[in-house]
Amino acid sequence: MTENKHRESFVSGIIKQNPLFISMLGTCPALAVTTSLESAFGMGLLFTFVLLCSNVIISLLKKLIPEVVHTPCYIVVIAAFVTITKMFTEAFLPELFATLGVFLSLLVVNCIVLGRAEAFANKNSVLDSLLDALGNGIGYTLAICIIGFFREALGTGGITIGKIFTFIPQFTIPLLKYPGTQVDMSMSVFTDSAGGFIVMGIALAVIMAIENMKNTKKKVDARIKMQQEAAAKKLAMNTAAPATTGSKKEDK
Amino acid sequence: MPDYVRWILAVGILLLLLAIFVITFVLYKKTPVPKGCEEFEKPSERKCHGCNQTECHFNLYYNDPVEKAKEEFQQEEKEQLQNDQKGEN
Amino acid sequence: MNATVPYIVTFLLAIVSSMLIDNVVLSRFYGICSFIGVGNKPKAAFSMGLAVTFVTIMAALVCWPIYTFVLQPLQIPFMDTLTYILVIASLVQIVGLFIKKYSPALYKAFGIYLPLITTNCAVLGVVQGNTDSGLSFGMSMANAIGTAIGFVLVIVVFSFIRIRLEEYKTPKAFRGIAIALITAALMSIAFLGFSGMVPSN
Repeated sequence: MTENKHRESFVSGIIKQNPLFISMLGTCPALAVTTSLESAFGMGLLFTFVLLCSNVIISLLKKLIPEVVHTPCYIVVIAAFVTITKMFTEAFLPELFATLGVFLSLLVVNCIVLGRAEAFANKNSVLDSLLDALGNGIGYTLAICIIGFFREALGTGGITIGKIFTFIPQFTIPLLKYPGTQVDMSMSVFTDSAGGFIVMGIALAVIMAIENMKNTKKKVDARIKMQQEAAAKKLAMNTAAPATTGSKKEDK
Repeated sequence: MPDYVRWILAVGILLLLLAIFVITFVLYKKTPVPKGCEEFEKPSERKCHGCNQTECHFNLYYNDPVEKAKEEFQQEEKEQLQNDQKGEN
Repeated sequence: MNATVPYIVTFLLAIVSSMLIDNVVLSRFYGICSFIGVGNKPKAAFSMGLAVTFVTIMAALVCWPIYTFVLQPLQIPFMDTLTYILVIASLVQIVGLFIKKYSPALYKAFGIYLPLITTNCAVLGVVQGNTDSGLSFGMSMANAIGTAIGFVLVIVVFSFIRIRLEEYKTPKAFRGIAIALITAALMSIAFLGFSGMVPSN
C-alpha cells in the first residue's frame, strides 16, 4: 500500500497530472525559454532542482511553520533556493545564465513550485514530497523539451547541441535544412514569440484530442453500465408491483 | 567595511522585510471581509486541484466523463418518465 | 542627435517601446497565466489589469532605490530576488488591506485577483529586469508604466476576442485554451508591426 502511494506520487506528475499540459501551470517560462531544445532542457533541470529542494525543506518544516504564515514562509524558502541556483548557474554555466536571464529569477513566482508546496509538500512525508518533486520536474522538463524541440527544429532547421552546455563539443543535427545544399525548409517564425504560442496551442490541442477520445470511451462504458442497471431495476419492479411504479417515483 | 558587518546587515534587511510581510499578511487575514464578498474567501470545493482556473477545460469538474454520463442519463430518464406520464394522462 | 532629444521624449518613447514593441504578454511572455485565466470577461480583465498596474508601478518605485542605495553599497546584490519578492508580496498585502477596509466595492472587483498578483510574473519580471539591465530610475519607471499599460491593453482586448471565439464552431480539440493560444500568436505577429515605431539604437 505504501509502496503504491510512493509510486503514485512519483508517476502522477509525469503524464497524468503533467504540470504544463494538463494543469496549465508555469506557462511563462515554457514559452519564453523554449527557443532551443538546449535552453529548454537547462530550464527544466534548474526547475527540477528548485522544486526538489523547496519540496523537501517544506515537508521537513511542515510541523514548525505556523498555519497563519505558511505562504510567506514558502515564498522565502523558494526564493532562497532560487538565489542559490542563480549563483551556481552563474558560476558554472554562464551561457545558460545569460540565455535564461530574468526567467531564472521568475522561478520564484512559478505557480508549480508554490502550488506543489501548498498542495502536496505540507501534507505528505519527506520521501513522498521528494518523489512528487522528481515526478513533476521530469514531467515539466519533458513538456518544455517537446516544445523546445519543435520550435528549434522548425525555426532553425536543425538541433544544435553544445551551445549552452559548453562542455559538450558543439554539433548540429540537420532536420529541415542541410548546409551546402538547396534544401532549407526552416521557418523563422517559430523562433519568434508567435511560434511559441503556435506550438503550445497545437500541443494542447493534440492532448485534448487524446483526452476527448478517452473520455468518450469512458462515457460510453458508463452509459452502457447504467442502462443495464436501469433495465434490471425496471424488470424487478415490474414483476413485483407493476401498478405502483408511477406513484413511487412521484413521491420522491 | 568588514565582511561580518555586511552579513549581519544582509540578514537584518531580510528579517526586516520578512517582518513587514508577515505583519501585513496577518493584518490582511484578520481584516473582516466586507459584506457581499464572503464567497471569495472560500473558493468553492472544486474537484480539480491543479489550479484555480474555473475556465480551464481540463478542469475535471466539467470534464469527468462518468459524472457527465450519469447526469445525461438521469436527465433522459426524467424526460422519459414525464413522457410516460403524459401518455397515461 | 541624442543630446538634443529632451528627456521627456526619451521617457515617452521608452513607455511606448515597452508597451507595444516589447509587449509584456505577447513578446516577453510575462503573465501568461493570468492572460489565459481571466478568460472571456472584459470587466474582470480590466480590474485585474488595474490591480497589476498599480502593484507593478509601486514595486518599481520601491525596489529600484532599495537595490541602488542599499543592496549595491553593501555589496549584497545577490539578495535582489529575495528582496523583490518580499517587497511585492508586502505591497500586495497592503493594497489588499486598504481595499478590504475602506472600499468593499473595489474589493468585490479585485478581491479574487489580489493573491494572484504576487505570483504574476509581470511584476517581478519588470522589477528584476530593470535592475538586471542596469536601467536608470527614469527608464525603469518608464518600463514599469509601459509594461503595465501594455498588460491591461492586451488582456482587455484578448478577453473581447475570447467572447467571439466561443461563438464559433472550432474543432473540439481546439476549444478553450488551444485556440486562444493560436489567436495570441496572430496577435503577436500583428504587434510585430509596431517594431518600426521606435528606431533601435
